[in-house]
Amino acid sequence: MNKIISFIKNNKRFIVVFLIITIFILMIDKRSKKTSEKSLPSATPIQIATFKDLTPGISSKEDVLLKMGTALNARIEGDKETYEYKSSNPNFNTEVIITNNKLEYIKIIYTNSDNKIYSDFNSTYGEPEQVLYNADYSVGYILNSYPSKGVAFISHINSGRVSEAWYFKPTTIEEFKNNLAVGYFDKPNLSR
Amino acid sequence: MKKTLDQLDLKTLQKILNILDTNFQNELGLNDPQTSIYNSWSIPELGVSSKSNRRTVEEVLERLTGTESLSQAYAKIYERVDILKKTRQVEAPKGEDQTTPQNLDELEEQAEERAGKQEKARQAAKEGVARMQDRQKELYEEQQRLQKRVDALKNEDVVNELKDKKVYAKVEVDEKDQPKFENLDENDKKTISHYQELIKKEKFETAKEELTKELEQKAENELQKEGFSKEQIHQTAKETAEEVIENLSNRSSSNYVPPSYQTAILAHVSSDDSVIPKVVATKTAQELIKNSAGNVAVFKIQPEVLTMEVLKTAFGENFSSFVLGADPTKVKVTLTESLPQNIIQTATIQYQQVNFNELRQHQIQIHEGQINTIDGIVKSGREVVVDRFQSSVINFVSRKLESLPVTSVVKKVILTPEMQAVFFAKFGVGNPVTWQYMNPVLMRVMGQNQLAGAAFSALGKLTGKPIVTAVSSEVAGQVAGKVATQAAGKATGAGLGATIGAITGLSGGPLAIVTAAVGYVIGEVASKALSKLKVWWTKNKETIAPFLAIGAGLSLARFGFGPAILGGAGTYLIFGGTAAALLFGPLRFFQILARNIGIAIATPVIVTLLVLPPLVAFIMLVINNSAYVVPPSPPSLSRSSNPYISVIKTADPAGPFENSDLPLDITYTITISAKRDTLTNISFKDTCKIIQEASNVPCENSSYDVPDSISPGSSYTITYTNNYNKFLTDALIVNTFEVTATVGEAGEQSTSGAASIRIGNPPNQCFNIVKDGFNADQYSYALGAISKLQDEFNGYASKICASLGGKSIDIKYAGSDPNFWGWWEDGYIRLYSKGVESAQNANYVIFHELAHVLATYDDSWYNQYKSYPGITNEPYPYCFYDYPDETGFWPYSERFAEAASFYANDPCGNFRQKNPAHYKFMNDVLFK
Repeated sequence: MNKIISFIKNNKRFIVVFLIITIFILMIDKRSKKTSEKSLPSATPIQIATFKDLTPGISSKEDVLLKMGTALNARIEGDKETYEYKSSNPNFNTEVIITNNKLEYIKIIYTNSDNKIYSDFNSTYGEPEQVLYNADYSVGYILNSYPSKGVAFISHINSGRVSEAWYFKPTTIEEFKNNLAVGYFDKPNLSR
Repeated sequence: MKKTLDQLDLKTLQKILNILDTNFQNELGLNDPQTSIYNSWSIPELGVSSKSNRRTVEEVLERLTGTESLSQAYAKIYERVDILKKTRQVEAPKGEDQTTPQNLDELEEQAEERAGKQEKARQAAKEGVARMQDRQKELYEEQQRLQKRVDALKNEDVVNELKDKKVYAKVEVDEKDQPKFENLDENDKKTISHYQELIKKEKFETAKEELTKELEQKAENELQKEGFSKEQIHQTAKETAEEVIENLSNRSSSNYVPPSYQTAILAHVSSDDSVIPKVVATKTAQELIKNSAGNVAVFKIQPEVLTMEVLKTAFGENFSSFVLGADPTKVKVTLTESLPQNIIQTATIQYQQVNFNELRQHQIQIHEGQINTIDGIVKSGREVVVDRFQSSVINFVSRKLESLPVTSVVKKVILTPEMQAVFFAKFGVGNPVTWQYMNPVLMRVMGQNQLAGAAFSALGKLTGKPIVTAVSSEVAGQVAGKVATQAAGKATGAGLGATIGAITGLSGGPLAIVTAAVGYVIGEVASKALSKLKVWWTKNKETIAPFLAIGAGLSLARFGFGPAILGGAGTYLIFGGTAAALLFGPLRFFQILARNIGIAIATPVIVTLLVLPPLVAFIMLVINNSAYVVPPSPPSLSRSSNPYISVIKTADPAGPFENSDLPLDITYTITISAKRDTLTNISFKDTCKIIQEASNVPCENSSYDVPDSISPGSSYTITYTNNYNKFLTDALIVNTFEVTATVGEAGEQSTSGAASIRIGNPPNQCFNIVKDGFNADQYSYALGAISKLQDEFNGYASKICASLGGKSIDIKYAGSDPNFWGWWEDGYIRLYSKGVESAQNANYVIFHELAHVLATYDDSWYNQYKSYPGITNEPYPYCFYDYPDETGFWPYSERFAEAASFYANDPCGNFRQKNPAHYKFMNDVLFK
């Protein structure tokens, strides 16, 4: 024991420097591990769009009723329940569809006063997986679609204003076109 | 070689007569058409049979007899038969010499018997021909009478006298008699809300179908007790459903006048002796107006009473009153020659106006339609009466009418002798002299015909007035509106056709019957052919593309058979197409139809169908123009289209101003009134927009207090002053004030008022017509449209130019295209030859395409339009251009463009009446 104490006393500078270096190396190592963990190829799951924390395909009917409040109208057709909520447009309501007690679809209506613009969505979801067109393309409206993320929105090509946003269960582009974007096409189909 | 009449033997000629007797009764006017037997037959000697086209048969008979008229052909054949028979009689003894001898008495007896039979047959045939000739004479005389009436209505003195003439009706209903949503029981509230919801979503057909079923279920037992058959119950439920849905969907319109109010007002006008003379000087014009109003009231009563009774049976009295308005007996009407100052429409007091000149114009249109109809009937030789359906229904209605108190306005109008005669003539109930119950047995078709004729004669004697059977477009419009809607759906059947005939057969004379026939024929053909037509149409769109170009086919694309005729005819009248073109289109159309779908449409039917365009044209016009009982015109009242809230925003001084006038202090006054019920939960939204090239001047909004409530009859006023500084040169400043409030039965309601200030020359010089390709006329039409835009609609022009941010928009000629008039794409407007073939067309298409330009470069206006209260509760802005997308939906971008063009050009002359919310948006926002 005396030998150890004597060793420490005789080499205390060395020991201090050693400890400092060791601690430093450990810190560097830890940081580099963190960095390397981050830089690993990503396996992040596809981001699923939500509205007011409601996720189509996951949220229950109770969640919807809790988050959306009192509906203006409700329609029940078999397993499908459609609820309408007030939007800022007096002519069109926000629409929520629940199937078998699970949230299926939400359509939000926006007007000028909502100031919802393209970048609000683009910054969250990135570039659209596909842009679709219907007759309103003649005045500049397009459907920006993210089928794999369960979201699509209609925006104006010049002003960037968003007039509608749809939230749905993630799906393929083909199913999206067949089931939700009915009347929309891959290319503009102007006829007037 | 073709045989002549003389070459045919007696047997063949008798066979021809028999065939004509049994298969061509209608054409010959020989008998009750209901008993006609349509046998299978053939005349090999002439090469015709029952499978032959009817026109072919007529042509063969024409060749055989040398006469075009079927009746005269019949007469000639009959004469020939007679001659041959006599010859045979003379020749007979020779034959008899060769047969077993008989005693003289027997032979004489047989000869007498034969002679008696022949005489009877000859007499019957002569009578038949005479009846037919009388009928043609009757129709001709009716045509002449109608023409005289048209001439009288077009008389310059009458025109000048009725120009801009109107009376106002103050309509009062006690608070306790006022139908209210809150007075309905919970079930009724749910029912009303359900159908209002469907209407809001524009699911009109679904709403009608559901309500028809509901009415059938609920009223079936009671109506069966009244003697209604199942078919009658269904048809009655359907008509009632139509009426209910139309009323519910129109309630939100500022132009809406409840049916019971209309009846009450017209009834008062018909019996007025104090106010009309103050407005119209001559006795002739006074009588014309009174008579017309009376006719309208009478013709409105039957369907109204039926609807009311069915609703009462199915849902109860409160429900019925809520839909149709207070009971007419509880509606107090006071006519005045002028509108009192500062009136406010409330739940208990409302003002309406009755426009006399509209009435005159519509009568002309109706009479001209009737004249054309008779013409078609005479030419086609078709006269079928089918309207048996009505008998027990009318019996039911007549009993309900009888039970009305004598003090009732409805009863009063019915009790006037001339109205009884009209009512009698139309429905076969009542009596020209005294009101009494008419045995429904008399409603049999021929009986009705005779009754109608008798009533017409009696009416003529009683009144001696130039117009005795006129009907108001208001009634025709409403009923025809139903027809148009029905035709748009899947049920274009015989019943519908009969309805068309019935509603257009408004003459008290034979016309009522013959027009019913036209409707029937149309319905019959349409119902049988409709499904095939749809398939055929899908395959042959291209074939009839030229036809599309003239308008009629535009409707076909969406609706199929029935409305194509409607649309085409309407379009033609609207755009003044030539008669030749009008005839060419449908004729060619039906020829193509017959050839392609393999159905034999006999020529008389085609001719009969050709009768329809003028007929339907006037239906379309009256649908589109039925506006002589409307709320007072906007300058007198609020411009708000909301039936519950009125918002008027004014600017003082109003301008326009020069740039040198800046800076400016403008005082804005906003007056908010409750029209029917107390407003609560009130909120305001004031929007200001400056239209100026490269504008960066902020638009200031003011602050103000919001009241807790506003009571009916009172108003809340806000006044504030804005200062516009020297930077606001060449600018248009638009201030829109929107009010949202909760109103009793209707829940949350919104409406707005707007005021705009023009300073200097706001941007409106951004339109560049590229001359290349246009001929001189086309170019001048295009220039004229732009000039009209800049001179008369500066607000619209300014907004478009501002949206372009200093650039200009090119308008180029794009050649000829059968389907398009104009096109907006790739930053410039293409105009096709059709779009610039007249000034009218150029105005229409350029204003339309420019709305697309505006929506493309500044979608805030389009978004405002989509958010504007009431626009989704109205019919599509439709005149002649059909614009469904691939899913059958009419895009709002097209509605927006059509509405802008209609506001400036009004090609159908009914935009304001048909689309009050659209009109208001255009008036108060887009063209401000």
